[in-house]
Amino acid sequence: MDLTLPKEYELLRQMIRDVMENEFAPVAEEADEKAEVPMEAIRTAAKAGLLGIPFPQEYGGSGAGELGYVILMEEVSRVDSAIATVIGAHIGIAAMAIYVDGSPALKEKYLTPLARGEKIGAFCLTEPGAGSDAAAIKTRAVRSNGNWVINGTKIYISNGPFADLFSVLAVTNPALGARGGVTAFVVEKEMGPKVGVIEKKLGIRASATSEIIFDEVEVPAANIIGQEGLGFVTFMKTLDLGRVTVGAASLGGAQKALEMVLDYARLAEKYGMPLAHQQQVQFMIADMYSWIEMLRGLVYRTAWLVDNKRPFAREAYVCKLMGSEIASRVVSYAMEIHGALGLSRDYPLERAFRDARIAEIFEGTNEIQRIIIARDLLREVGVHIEP
Amino acid sequence: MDLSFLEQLLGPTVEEEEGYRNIWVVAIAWEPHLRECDLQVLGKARDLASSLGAYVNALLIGEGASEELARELIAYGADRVCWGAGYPTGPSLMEFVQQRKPEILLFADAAGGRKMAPRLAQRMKTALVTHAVDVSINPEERALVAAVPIYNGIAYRVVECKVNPQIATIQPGVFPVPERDPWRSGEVEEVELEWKPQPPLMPVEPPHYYIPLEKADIVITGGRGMRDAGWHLLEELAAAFARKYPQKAVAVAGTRGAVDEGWIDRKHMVDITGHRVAPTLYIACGVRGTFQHFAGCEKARCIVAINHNPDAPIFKHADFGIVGKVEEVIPALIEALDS
Amino acid sequence: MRIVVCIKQILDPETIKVSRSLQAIDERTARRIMNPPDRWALDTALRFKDEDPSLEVIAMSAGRSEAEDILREALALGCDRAILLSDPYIVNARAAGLAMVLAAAIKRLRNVQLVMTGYKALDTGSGTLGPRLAIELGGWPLLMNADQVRLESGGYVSGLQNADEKFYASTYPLPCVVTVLETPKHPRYPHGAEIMNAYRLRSVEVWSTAALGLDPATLPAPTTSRQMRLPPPREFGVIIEGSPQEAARNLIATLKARRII
Repeated sequence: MDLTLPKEYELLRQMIRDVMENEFAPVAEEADEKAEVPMEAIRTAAKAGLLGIPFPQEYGGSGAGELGYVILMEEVSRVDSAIATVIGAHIGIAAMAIYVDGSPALKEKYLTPLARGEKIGAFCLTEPGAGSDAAAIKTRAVRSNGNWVINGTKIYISNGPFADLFSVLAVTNPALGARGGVTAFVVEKEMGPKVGVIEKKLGIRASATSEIIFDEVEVPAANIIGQEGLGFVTFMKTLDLGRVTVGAASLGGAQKALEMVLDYARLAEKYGMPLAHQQQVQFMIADMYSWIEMLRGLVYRTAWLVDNKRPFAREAYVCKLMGSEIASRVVSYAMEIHGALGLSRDYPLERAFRDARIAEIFEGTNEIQRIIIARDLLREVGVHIEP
Repeated sequence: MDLSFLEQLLGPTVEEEEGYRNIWVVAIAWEPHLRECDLQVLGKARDLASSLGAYVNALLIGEGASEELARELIAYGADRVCWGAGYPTGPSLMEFVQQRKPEILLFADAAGGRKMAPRLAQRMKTALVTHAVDVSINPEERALVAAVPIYNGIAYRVVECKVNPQIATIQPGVFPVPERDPWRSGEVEEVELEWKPQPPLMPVEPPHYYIPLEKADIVITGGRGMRDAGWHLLEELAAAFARKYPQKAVAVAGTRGAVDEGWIDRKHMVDITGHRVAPTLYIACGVRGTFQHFAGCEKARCIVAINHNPDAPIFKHADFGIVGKVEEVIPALIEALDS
Repeated sequence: MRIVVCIKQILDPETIKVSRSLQAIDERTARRIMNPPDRWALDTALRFKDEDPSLEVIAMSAGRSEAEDILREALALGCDRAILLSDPYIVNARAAGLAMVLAAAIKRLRNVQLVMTGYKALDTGSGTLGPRLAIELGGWPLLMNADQVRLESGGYVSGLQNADEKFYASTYPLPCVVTVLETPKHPRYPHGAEIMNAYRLRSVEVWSTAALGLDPATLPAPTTSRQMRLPPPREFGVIIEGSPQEAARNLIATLKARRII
C-alpha cells in the first residue's frame, strides 16, 4: 500500500496554492464584502487549468482525475471556500454531468470549453419544491419539432448569474417520474434561460447564487446528456462524485482554521500566559487536528476508489457528511479560541465561520446523507426501506 | 595614526621567488571623481595590509581616471597607484594581474566590480568571494577570510581563500571611508592597458513597481502615539531612508489605532488582521505594542521601537528601543541618516 | 535559435530554520524550490517564445538528482527540453567548475544565442554564474542584473541594467549572457495538464561530465574553504540611552554594525 502522493500531484498542489495565495487571497475579503465573484482571478485560474483539473486532456482538462480534483478543492478552500463553491459547481456538477454520461460529440462541444474555463457552468437541479428530494422536480421538457421546450424555475443555482452553460434536469414523461421520465439537458445561455432573483447570502458571498427561469426555452435533441429518461441517474452519479469534493473543500477550510488557531494561540496572552499554555486550548487543538487527519484519510481514500473504478458512493456520502460537520466544528472551536477577534469582520475567521455552514446543507443536506448511509447499510442485512 | 612609513622602512616582510604579494584595490571612476565604495575598500585594504606586512596598491580605471584622482587615492591610503583612463578588456586586465601578482585583489561590490571580479576569477580559475560584509586575514595561511550573508542574512558563510590571487568584492557601506591625508606620499604610474570602447551610458527612470508591504525591506509604522508629532514625520523618515539606501524598498504603515484615527488607509495596516510583514528593519514609532500588532511584525529581522513610555510592551519585543518623544527622536534619526 | 536558461534548485529561505545547537541550517522542514530569480529568467525566455514560437527554450540545471523536480517544473511551464547535468564531480563542484560544465553543455547544443539565468541564487548564491558563463562561452557580452529584457530585431538583446542603484538602457549583440532581476509581480503559472505531462510523458535528459567530453581531473578544484556561522541570538529589549541626537546616531551605527542596513 503506497500512500505517497505522486510528484506530479505535489507540483499540482504547489501550483494551485500559488494561484490561490497570489491571486485570490488578496481579494477575498473585498469579494466577500461586496458579494462579487472575483472574475479576474477566476480567469487567471482558468489559464492555469484550474477549471478542468479532473477531466481528460482530450476534452481540455488536466487529466488529473479525482485525486487532482480533491487536491484542487482542498487548496482552493484553504484560501477561500466561496471560490470552492464556484469551482465545485462548475467542475464538480455542471461539467461532471456531461463528463459522466454525455456522448463524445456532446463532450467535445460542451465539456471542452468548460474544462478550458472559456465557459462557466451551472447545475440546475433544485426547485422550490424539490431540493434534497430531487425526484420531485416539476420543470417540464416537451418535444416540439424535433427539439425540446423547457419550462420551469430552478432555485439556489450556484454560478447562475454568470454561467454560460447549464446542466438541467427536467421531466420528460410525468407518468414515469424519476424512473425513466426525467432527462438531463445541456442548455446554452443563448437559448434563453433567464437569471431570476439573486440570493443575498450569509456565507460563500464571493460565489453567486440565483434563480434560473426557463420560459419556453428551446433546446436541440442533441443536447440531451446520456439517454432520454435517464437524467435522474446521470444527476445522482454526478452528485456522488461531487460529494467527495465537498469533503475535500471542508478539509481545506478546517486546515486553515487550525493554522490560524496555532498562530493565534502562540501569540495571544490571557491571564498572563500565552493561550497555547492553557490546557483547555491544547485539548481543543488536539481534537481539531485529529478530526482533520481523520477526514484527510477518508477523502483521499475515496478519491483513490473513484480513480481506480471501485464502488465509492457510500464513502462519498461519509465524506460530505463528516467533512461538513468536522469543518463546522473546527471553525467553531477556532472562534471560541479567538474570542472577540473571531467575530471581527477584519479577520478571515469570521468569513470562514459563515462559509462553513453551507457545506452541511448543499449537495443534499446532512440529514439526507444520514438516511441514505443508514438505508444502504440496512439493505445489506435485508432491511429494505422505500423512500 | 598612519604607520605606513614604518612598513616602508622595514620593507615588505613576505617576498617569495615569483610570489604573489601585496594587496591591490581596483577603483573605478566612471566620472572624474572617486567613488565612496572604492575608498571604503581602500581603507579596509590598509587594515589587512598591516596584518600581512604588505603594501596597498591600487589600479584606477574608468573614463574619469586621471593622475589627479590617482594622487587622491594615495591621500586615502594607497602606496602606489597605477591608472589609465579607460575600461580594460578582460584579457588585458588578466595580463596586468599576472604581471603584478597581487596576493589579494579587492573590488567594491558595485558596478564594474560585480562584472569584472567574477570574469577575472573565471579566467584565472582562482579564489573569489563576492558580497563580503567583513574581511580579515588568517596570518598563518596568509589567507583572506571573508564573511558573506546567506539565506537572506539569517546566517553567514565564512570563506577562506586558498589560491592566489585571492579576489573579493566588498559590499558598499560596510566600512568607513578612511581619513584623507594630503601629505601621504606614494608612487603614481600611468599604465597602458588594452582599452575597450564603452558604449555611452544611458540612464533611465528606474522601472516603477508597486511593492506590496510584505516585500518592503524597511517598514516604518506609526501608532496612536504619533498624534502630537504628526504623521508626516513618518513619511519624512521613510524618505530619509530611501535617500540613503535607494536600493531598499521603504514603506510606511500604521497600527490598528492609527487606521482607526484615519491617519492611514487600512490597506497599510500591520496587525494580526492586516498585513504580516517581514522586512529587514521594522521601526515602530509611537506604538504601544499589543500582541495583535506584534503578530504583524514578528517576522522582521530587526525591530526598533521609539516610544515615550518606557513601560510600553513594544520594548519587550524590540531588538532596540529608544525611550523618548517621537517628535524629537524621528528628526534626530533623519539628521543621523542624512549626515 | 535556442535559448538556454540555467536554473538552480535551492532551499526556500522562507522555510529554513536555524538549529543553534548544531550551528547549522535545519534542512528537514525546508522546501526545495526553483530559485525565484531563475524562474523569472525562465519566464522572460518563455515570453520570447510566446512572441516567436520558432524559438527553442531549454532549461538546464547542474546539481543533485533531486534537481530533476525543478526541470520538470520548467517543462510544465513550457520549455522544449530540460537537461540535468549531474555526476559526482558536478555535485561537489564550485562556481568555476559548474560554469565550465554548463558552458560545455551549452556549446554541445549548438545554435544557442542567448543564455539566461537569475541575478543570484537566493540561498547561498554568489551571483557570479552569469559572468563566469560569459567567459567560458568564449567572451560573450554580458547583460547583468537586468529588468525588462527584450529580444530586438537584427540579433540584439536589450534591457534595463541595474548598476550602482541606477538603471541604464543597454543593448548587446547576440550571442549574449543575461542575468535577470526579480520583479514583485508573480511569474506565469504552469498549466495543470502540462504538470501532469511533465511527469507522465516528458523526460529530463541527464548528462554527465564524461558525456560532455570533460575529464573531472582537469576541471578546477575548490579554491576556497567554507564554514557556516550563525549570528549571535537576538537579544530583545536593548534600550539605547542618551539625548535624542545621541540615541539616533547610536542606533544608526548599531544597525550598520549588525548589517541590518
